[in-house]
Amino acid sequence: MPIAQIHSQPERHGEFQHPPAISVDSNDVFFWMSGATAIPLYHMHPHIDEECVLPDDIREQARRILTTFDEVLTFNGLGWRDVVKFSTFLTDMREYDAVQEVIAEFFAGTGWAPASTTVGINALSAPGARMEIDVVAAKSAN
Amino acid sequence: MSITIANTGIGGVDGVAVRVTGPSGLYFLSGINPNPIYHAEPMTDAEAHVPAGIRDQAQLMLNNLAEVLGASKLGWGSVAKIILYLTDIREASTVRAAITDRFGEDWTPAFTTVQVDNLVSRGARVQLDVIAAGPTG
Repeated sequence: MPIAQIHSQPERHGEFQHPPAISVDSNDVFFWMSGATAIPLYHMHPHIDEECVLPDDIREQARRILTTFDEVLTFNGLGWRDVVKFSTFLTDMREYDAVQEVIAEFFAGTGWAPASTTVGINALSAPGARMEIDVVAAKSAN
Repeated sequence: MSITIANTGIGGVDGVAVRVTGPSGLYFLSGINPNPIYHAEPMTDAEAHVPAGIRDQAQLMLNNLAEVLGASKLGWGSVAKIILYLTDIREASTVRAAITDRFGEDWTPAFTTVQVDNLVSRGARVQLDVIAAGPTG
């Protein structure tokens, strides 16, 4: 089974940024990535103030997060076409559309979008962080 | 391929885990909401409109889950894991009852329930995140 998008209403494929589901074969190689906020991927625990100074602009926070995943994907020999699931956590749901625009920038040209879930949450671990993304990727075993 | 409930054997307790063995197809679903699956980005007012009642919202959401499972050629017994997001955790038992109605008595996915501040569409109080497993193909 190829890693593929599943559409329950295929004729409406073009209208929808994220497909209703993605299928993956269990023989494929899975990559479960740690959630990332806009602070540096490698950071101190407990968090130190210097690493948690973040831009107020949610688009810039989103770009930093996606740049982090770009590095992690590249390190693992993967690209955005290999991402099967995004879980996005926002502290302010009114920023949903702006975040989706930035996500679309990173997938531009791939012809691909992962399955996606977004929820509004109370707080994140890093001070100043307004969003976090959790990513699952898969690479065909064949 | 087999998908089985691995439970503690304690009566009345949900399966604590679901085990998927053998070559299989895994299905990562996008968040399942009470709103239409296919909608504009951002949603139009008509698409964003959901009924106020949690029972009605749960039924619309489960209709959407049935549609996506159908498109994936899967049944209710293919669902391995559900994360249930609620904006009011006190509605958990009502939503769980609606879910159990659809799944029947013979199948319970591994289950996580959390309360969240907000969901994407205005007025939505419930969302499901689902991982399913079926035959490879």
